[in-house]
Amino acid sequence: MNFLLSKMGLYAVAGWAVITLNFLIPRLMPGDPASALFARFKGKLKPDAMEALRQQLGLNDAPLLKQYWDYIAQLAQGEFGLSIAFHPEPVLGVIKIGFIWTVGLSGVAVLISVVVGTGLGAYAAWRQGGRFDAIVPPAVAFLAAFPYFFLAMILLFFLGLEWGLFPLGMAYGPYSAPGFNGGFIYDLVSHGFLPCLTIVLASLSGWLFVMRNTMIGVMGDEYVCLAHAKGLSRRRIFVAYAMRNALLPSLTSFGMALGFIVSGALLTEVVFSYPGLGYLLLKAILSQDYPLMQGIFLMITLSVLLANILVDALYYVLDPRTRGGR
Amino acid sequence: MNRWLIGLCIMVSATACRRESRQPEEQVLVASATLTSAWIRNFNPFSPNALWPTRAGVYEPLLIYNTLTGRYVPWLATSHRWSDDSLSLEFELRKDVQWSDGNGFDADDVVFTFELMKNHPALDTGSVWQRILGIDKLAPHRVRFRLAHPDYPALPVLAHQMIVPEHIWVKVQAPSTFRNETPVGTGPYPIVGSFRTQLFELDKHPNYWKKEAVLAKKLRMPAYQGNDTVSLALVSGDIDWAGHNVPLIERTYIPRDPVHFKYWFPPLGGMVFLFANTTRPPLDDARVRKAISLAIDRNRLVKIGMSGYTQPADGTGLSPVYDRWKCCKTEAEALTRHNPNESQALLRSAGCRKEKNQWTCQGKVLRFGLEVVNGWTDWIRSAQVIKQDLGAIGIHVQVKSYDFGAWFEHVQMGRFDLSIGWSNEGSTPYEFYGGLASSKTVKPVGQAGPTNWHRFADKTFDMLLDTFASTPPGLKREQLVDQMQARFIETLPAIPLFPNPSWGTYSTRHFVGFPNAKKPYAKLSPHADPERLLLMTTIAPRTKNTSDGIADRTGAGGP
Repeated sequence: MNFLLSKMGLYAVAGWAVITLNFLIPRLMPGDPASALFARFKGKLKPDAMEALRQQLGLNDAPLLKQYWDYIAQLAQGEFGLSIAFHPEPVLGVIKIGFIWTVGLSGVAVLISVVVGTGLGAYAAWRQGGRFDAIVPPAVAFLAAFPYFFLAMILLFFLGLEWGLFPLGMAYGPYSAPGFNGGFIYDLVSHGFLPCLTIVLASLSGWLFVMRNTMIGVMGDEYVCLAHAKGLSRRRIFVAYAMRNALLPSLTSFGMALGFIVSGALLTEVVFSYPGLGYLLLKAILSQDYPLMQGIFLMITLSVLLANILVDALYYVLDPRTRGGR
Repeated sequence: MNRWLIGLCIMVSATACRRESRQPEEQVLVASATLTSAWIRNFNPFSPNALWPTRAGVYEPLLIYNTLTGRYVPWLATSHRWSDDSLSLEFELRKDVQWSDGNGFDADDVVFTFELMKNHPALDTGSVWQRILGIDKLAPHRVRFRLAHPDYPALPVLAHQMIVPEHIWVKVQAPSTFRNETPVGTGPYPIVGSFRTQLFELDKHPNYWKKEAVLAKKLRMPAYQGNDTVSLALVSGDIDWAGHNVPLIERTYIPRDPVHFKYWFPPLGGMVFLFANTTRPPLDDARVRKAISLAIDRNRLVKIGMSGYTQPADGTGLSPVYDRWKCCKTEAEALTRHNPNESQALLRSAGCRKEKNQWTCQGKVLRFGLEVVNGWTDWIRSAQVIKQDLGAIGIHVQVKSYDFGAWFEHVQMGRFDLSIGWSNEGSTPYEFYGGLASSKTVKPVGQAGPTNWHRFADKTFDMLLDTFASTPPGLKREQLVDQMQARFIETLPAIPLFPNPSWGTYSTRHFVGFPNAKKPYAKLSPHADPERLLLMTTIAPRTKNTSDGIADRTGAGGP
């Protein structure tokens, strides 16, 4: 039990640090939100408007410590305040708009990537030294060397623009009404295909290599040897004995990956005009929207923390060795 | 593996074949003014984040100043009149105007709107209540503003205020955070027909007061996130009316459908300046600023920096919007013509010395940082041209690009040598020169100033501007503006570069009657607020018997 308690204490400290950094970092940026808003009008707004804007946005020059206190008090009530870039929409409302798209896109992409990557890794280990093993893992590693956004732009340029196979952006066509019907779902899938493909291609190699290498390690273990000696079929040993054990490390990184879902696809979203959190975060940064930035960052960091807690708990259950240290 | 490939191929080819098209009978006007990935529902005309076209679209002002004709077009008010002592301004309101919910519009709505701004200063983004003492209802359709002192430049501020319905807004508790999701307005498109994250539609007013206007059934706004996506939608004919900078438009957009696709990028936007910080000698010396102005080859600047979409500025700093005010053409043009020899002669007369291609003035080497914004490619290209031109005569410039927030802080606080920047726009040169040369707009270095970043103050300008504010329209005012221009040429508070183009593209496939260079009845840009109402109520859906010859029918744009 001590293990869990000490872990929880650690997470409490990490959580506080996250919340505090989240408060400080946006405020270290040069400029202020009212000026940024004013500047968007490039001379079309009267100079006297500045004061009215400050009032409207609820900006004040309160001391940092007081702002910090208000921020903590607001958080405790689950309040994130009003966004500035989309004023007067509450931060939670703005996040809600992007959240579904981001979680949908990255969630599907991560799932595909895990299943395909692990499968390919296992197959490469099964055919260790064969032709598949010689070609696929290096090819996947090569793809992973590209940064997300670069891969995204290449795919967009060739598959989208040059060959016109896929739409060039947005989550669905401008004229299709969201709903549970074949047409819309088809529209959704065709719009999500390229961004999803980008994320899958870029993250495949991690899963593949973890799986392949642990498989090879496990295959040399004594209990696998014993299973061979008992005369079990190679397929049975591979699937029921080796793979089950080799999946453990992948499972923990899957937990981590779930945490990164929220943040994972920011650049991909920007390239494909996907209406997720990525674009909103970009807009928040450009317009010095502290509350929205804080909301999104908090979302990202807390989901990573949460995923870590889950993974730790899972380890506690799955791996008896973590329970030993009392 | 093979089945996979076949499945993929089917999906891919199906996508390629699909192309949504619009029937002309639908009478839907598709417009694109702002870029975003998701619409956020906000139709509050007092909010700076209100969706386009909440101001001048859903809501309407009393009068509309048409920058192209220089006249006020009667809108919700049929006429305005200054009192003899210039201390009050009366508006006669239109009697046949209905709100989109069927209620009548009258003086109570106008009085309520202004009182609302008094009670909630956060709404008063035009600082109306710093200019007026009060507003009275004189008759059911007549209002009067009372002023503390004669203040003619108050007219555009009051006339352009969007009027909201009293019977709706009186119930609103916190108007500055009110999102106004289902607006009620007097404008041509005040009703939200449908609203989704990526697209929203406004329906036409069932009983719009301007009876001769042939409105579209719907105004449709798809969300495009970036210039690339919107350019693509333009070339495929999805958008009827847009206001984006399309690169190489003659090669990318027009050839797709030369009969219907048109653009008009007149230089009617704000003037872009090279600001020289006058708190940093020797930039406080007008001769040095003039020398810099003469060293810049603006023809090259416009060609390289702005892809030739605009024209060089002249020494008055006034953009072509103010053409009817302009005086002293010869002197003005002499100050912005590329003339390196004259430039160096000026520097010598200012007591500067040149050694080894390096100027020294007042003991200081002429070596400046020129600030621009990261990613604003037109400014960055312009800055490179300026650097080369100034370098050629021995003034050394280092181009420094900052993120927007950092750049804006530098210029506002007065912590820069040279910077490219925009200027105030207004219906008369008064607002424009006020932001460039009035001592009222100067803030000490280290304190943020919304305008006059170069910190230039001049007694003559103060006097001229104050006199202008209390002078009724007429010959005397024109003379004052002539004097302002002469003073500007003499002191050159900031170095004018070029006027911004006013971006506008249209397609006559579905709608006709857009303004263009031949029929400049209003600005084409959807950003022209509130002038876009003139365009929105003049264009009409194309009918079956509209031929392309008469597609560009003359627009009236009001009396």
